[in-house]
Amino acid sequence: MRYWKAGIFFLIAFLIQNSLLNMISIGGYTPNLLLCLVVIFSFLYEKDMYGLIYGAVFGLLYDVCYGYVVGPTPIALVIVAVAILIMREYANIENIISMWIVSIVSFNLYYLINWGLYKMAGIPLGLSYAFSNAVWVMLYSLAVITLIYMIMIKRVVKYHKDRYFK
Amino acid sequence: MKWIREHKLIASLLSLLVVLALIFVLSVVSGGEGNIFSAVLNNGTSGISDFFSSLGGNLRDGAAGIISHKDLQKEIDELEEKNDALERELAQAKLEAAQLEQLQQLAGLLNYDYTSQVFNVVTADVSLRDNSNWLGIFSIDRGTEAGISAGSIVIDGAGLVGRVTEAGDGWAKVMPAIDEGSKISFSLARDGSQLGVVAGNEKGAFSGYMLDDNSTVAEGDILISSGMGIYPAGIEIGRVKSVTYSSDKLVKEIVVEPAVNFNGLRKVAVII
Repeated sequence: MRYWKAGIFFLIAFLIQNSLLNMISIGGYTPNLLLCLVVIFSFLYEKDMYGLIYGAVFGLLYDVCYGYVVGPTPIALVIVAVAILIMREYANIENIISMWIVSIVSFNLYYLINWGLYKMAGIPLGLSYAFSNAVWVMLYSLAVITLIYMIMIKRVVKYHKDRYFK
Repeated sequence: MKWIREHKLIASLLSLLVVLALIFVLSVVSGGEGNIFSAVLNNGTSGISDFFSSLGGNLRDGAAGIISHKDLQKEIDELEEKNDALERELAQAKLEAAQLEQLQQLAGLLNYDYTSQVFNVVTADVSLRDNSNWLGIFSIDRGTEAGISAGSIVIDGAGLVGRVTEAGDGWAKVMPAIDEGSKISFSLARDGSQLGVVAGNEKGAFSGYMLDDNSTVAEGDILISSGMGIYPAGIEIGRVKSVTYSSDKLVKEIVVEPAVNFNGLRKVAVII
């Protein structure tokens, strides 16, 4: 995938995260599209590092436009992208269970870093309260990631179910 | 230098994280308030985001209308009945307003000082809200063109919502009162002489204490802003959920359920 194509995905996610996505909210929760894209792109495209670069850029834009302080989102997304690049060494990208495990670890890492940074910025919310809300977002995001993964894996790994294809 | 040349990727990553950390520190030091980049970007993106937001709202309302046609008809009938009742109340209120005006004229003649609770407000729709973030910051579709500025107080029909942290042409960013660490001075709605202080707590509610340990505050009491501090007097904050006496601090500590349902906010009013 070319850089500009990946950039368009991130741009759309950035624009619809706070607006159009609210129409598919379940119980007042929506998936975190930016995080989903960072996870999926970092997991499927190792060399190009789309997740890391666009995560930093659009995370920064997100905080500037919608955040209370600037920094927590891009820092958390960059660390998550790096963590996925490391985890990827031990995971089979063709196996969806690997994708789920990496996603769950990444989501928890993201929200933990995000919460820690907001705590440093003086936001009073507790860890248990923050995660009690985040768990629904994580589940919703996991469903979205599964959907994106099933579409994209066919493009990333041709004939991925046939190991003997020549 | 040799290490950097040999580990270009790690060095680049560390540099990126250091830059982001510096931006974060600068942002925290500046108090999370608006900056020139934020204003420029928000002005640029608010039009596009508003388009998506209104598109989402129209699609949601349209889909809901198709699915729940019968429910809507029932709701319309109920609303018509309510409308009739409200029209009767309005007629009564007009009479009372005329009486109030006469009393105010009389008060003016007698040089009587009274506190007016009439706020100058601008109504706005919640345009952007990220439900994937546990922090409840949201944007509204009115801004500096309507007289809204950073620090303006946001309320809704139920009570206190929060304050505007940044504003531009056609947009304003709102920080909910429960997510902010700042303290709110309050009085009991039933007795204005009983004062206290609350702030957002770790569980998405308010907690605080009464200034007088002999206070008669009880579960179910309604709290309103006292007028001291940034919030004007008379705005409902919430209802007391529990009262405990702290023998260490020698004060009555309270936990307060916010009056506003922050997840269901669609329309708000901004005091200007």
